[in-house]
Amino acid sequence: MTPLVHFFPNMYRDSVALMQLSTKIAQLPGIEAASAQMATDANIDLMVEAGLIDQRPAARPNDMLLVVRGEEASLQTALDFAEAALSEKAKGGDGTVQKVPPRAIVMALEDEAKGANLALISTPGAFAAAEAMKALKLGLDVMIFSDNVPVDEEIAIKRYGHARNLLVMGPDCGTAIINGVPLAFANVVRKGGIGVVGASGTGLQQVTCLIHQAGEGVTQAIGTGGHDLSEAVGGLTMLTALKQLGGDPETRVIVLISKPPAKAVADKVLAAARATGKPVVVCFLGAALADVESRGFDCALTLEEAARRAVEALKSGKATFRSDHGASAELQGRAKRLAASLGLGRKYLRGLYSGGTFCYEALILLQDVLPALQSNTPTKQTARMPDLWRSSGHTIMDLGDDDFTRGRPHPMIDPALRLERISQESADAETAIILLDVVLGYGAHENPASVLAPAIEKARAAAGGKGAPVFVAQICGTDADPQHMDRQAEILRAAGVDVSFSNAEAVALVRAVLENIKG
Amino acid sequence: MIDVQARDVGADIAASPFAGAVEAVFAHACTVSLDDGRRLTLLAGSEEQGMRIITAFAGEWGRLHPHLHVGRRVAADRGVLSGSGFRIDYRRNAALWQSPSFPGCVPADGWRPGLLEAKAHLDAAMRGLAPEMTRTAAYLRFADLCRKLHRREAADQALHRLVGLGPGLTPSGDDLLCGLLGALAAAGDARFETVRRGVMPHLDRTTSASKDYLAQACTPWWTGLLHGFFAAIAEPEGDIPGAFRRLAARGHSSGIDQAAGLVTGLALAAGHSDFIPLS
Repeated sequence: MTPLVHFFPNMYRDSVALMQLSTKIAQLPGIEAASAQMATDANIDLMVEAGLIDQRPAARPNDMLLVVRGEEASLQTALDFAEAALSEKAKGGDGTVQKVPPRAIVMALEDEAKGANLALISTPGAFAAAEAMKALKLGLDVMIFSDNVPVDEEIAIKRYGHARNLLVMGPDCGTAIINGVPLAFANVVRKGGIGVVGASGTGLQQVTCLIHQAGEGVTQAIGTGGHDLSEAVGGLTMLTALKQLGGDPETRVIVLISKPPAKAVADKVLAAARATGKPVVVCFLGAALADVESRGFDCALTLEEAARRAVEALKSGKATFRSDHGASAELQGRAKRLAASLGLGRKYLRGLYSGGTFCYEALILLQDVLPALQSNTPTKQTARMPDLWRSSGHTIMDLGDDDFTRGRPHPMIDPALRLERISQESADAETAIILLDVVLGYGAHENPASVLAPAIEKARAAAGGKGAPVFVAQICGTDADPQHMDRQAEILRAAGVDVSFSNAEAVALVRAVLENIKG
Repeated sequence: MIDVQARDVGADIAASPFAGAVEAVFAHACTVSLDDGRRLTLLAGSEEQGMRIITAFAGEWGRLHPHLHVGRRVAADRGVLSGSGFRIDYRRNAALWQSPSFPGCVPADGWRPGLLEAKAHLDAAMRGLAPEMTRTAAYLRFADLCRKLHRREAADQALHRLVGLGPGLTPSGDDLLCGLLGALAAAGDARFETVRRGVMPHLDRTTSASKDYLAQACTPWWTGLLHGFFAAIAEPEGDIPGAFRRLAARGHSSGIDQAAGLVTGLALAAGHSDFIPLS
């Protein structure tokens, strides 16, 4: 008895339909057995093994194979029956409805996230603006962690948000504290009376941490994303944030953090700041004191000053603090001890930062005293490193920059690259100081000191123990962070690291050590 | 020209331009072979999500399906996939799906509480399936594979006989392997590499749609429903009945087969020799 072997090119019905078809054909008069299958090699092999067919048909995996055994006169009837059945339109489901997990913002709002008022968006950049717009249309504030969002899309969503008094934090916004909740890379900071708006993630982290360390707290810490104060975007998020903080009765002092914006943008932002009617501390890192003070604002030259002056303004209404650590006898004593421990010929600074704003602030604070200073992210007054993978002279690097993070995690999360670089810089006989930032909080490494300390001890031993480079670190964090600031400091100090709690202080110490070496 | 709105889109489907040709059209799915050698799948009326899947609303599929013809060119630009007579917008209002990460380690309890509960649901569902020759053969060969995973050559031979075996658009053998690959990747188990290397050369032996799923499992990427089931097993208070119900609703037996592969793989990786379901 020769079986009927027929294949239907590129034909598919679900397996239930195929099993039903097989059963119905097998019940036709004169038919002994029938099987309908996708014509994959494995299925055909099995049919051959089972003796259903004698040889392999020339079918492909996307074809449907029908094999029928029976009386020869009945085979054509079976094939006609199959063709008629397969040409019928596929039937729908049984009409039952099951609860599905949310796959869209609107679905989440209807169920699990009922009452939410903020959407945090982390998608590839090409999709982020579309998701943000959906959230804004639903009346949500938005934080966009994604980067690589086209600037025209950023402008469109920010205009939409600004017109409706909705925040669009980002794109490329990595830090915020909203209603006491740290979002993305942020620290555990107590609630208080200071509102902070910043175009820089680590800048926001430093300022909020130092406010906490000074015994005060924040109402909101609002990130704007790095492009917000560009001429194209025009500071739309900062303007919205200022309006919201101005209308918030719990916010009694406001801090603004950014690199110096274009003049037209600065004018708009400062006008909005004035319109809040509240004390505003302006920290345009790298701007001249007179430029800001001449417009009637309190000007902070460092992130530390921004935090401390805001606390002073809140407590007494008068801000006086300056990051003048160089004048401190205690700091000079530390500098002398560190300089005295260095071996002959060690004379250069190697800054290995994970925070971009810390790197930028260090460059600003040292560029006047170290004219040959180099960086992978240079300022106008400093030089670009000729070789990113080999330092020379005084060098300060942002290891979190795209140059170093393509295809690998950010150094705040994965310290591997920085550990390699610590070993490399220590082995250079001209390295005097290795300057580090240690950023704590949510998103950061769970115990950064525990991986840095052994690497530092090993590097110092390899560099000759006594006379090896000195390590200066600033910890950006709080005693309430999961990593706990004081415990991190203890671990680093036990490894011989000089620890500060502000970048400005660490940089002042570095400067004093270098002056001692020269002297 | 009809305009179709996608419901979900996988994150690996670039917003940048690409082009290709329709490779296969099924009742509720379509595979597209891209000029860069990759593939994407269009699905309809399914809860499934994947890194290289665009899912249309079931109602939209009825309008789209008549325009899908094997060999016809399609092209995508700025989040719109266009072909002869249709446009699919997968950017504006589609939810983006990103494969969650794989933990890469076995927890101290070896997922035991979750696995025991999952296995009970799996056993009940499997009892409800009608016997089918190729599916039964796939399960027997999968069990054979699990016993041979520590021997590379033997595992390769078992995989050769398993890929593409079983009923349906995604044959049971492939679904079992998708589950197994997800489990071994989640556990950080070295046998993942044995299976991946053994599967890749045989991808052309199965249907186009199944090939996509297997290739994604080898990357490794999760698909949405399979990850939902894994997460429910791994979490202390996970909704295992709900996650299993959603996965099992995939195809006739595909979801159950994937669940069986996952539970078996997790039990294997965690060394629960007392209840490895299919070994």
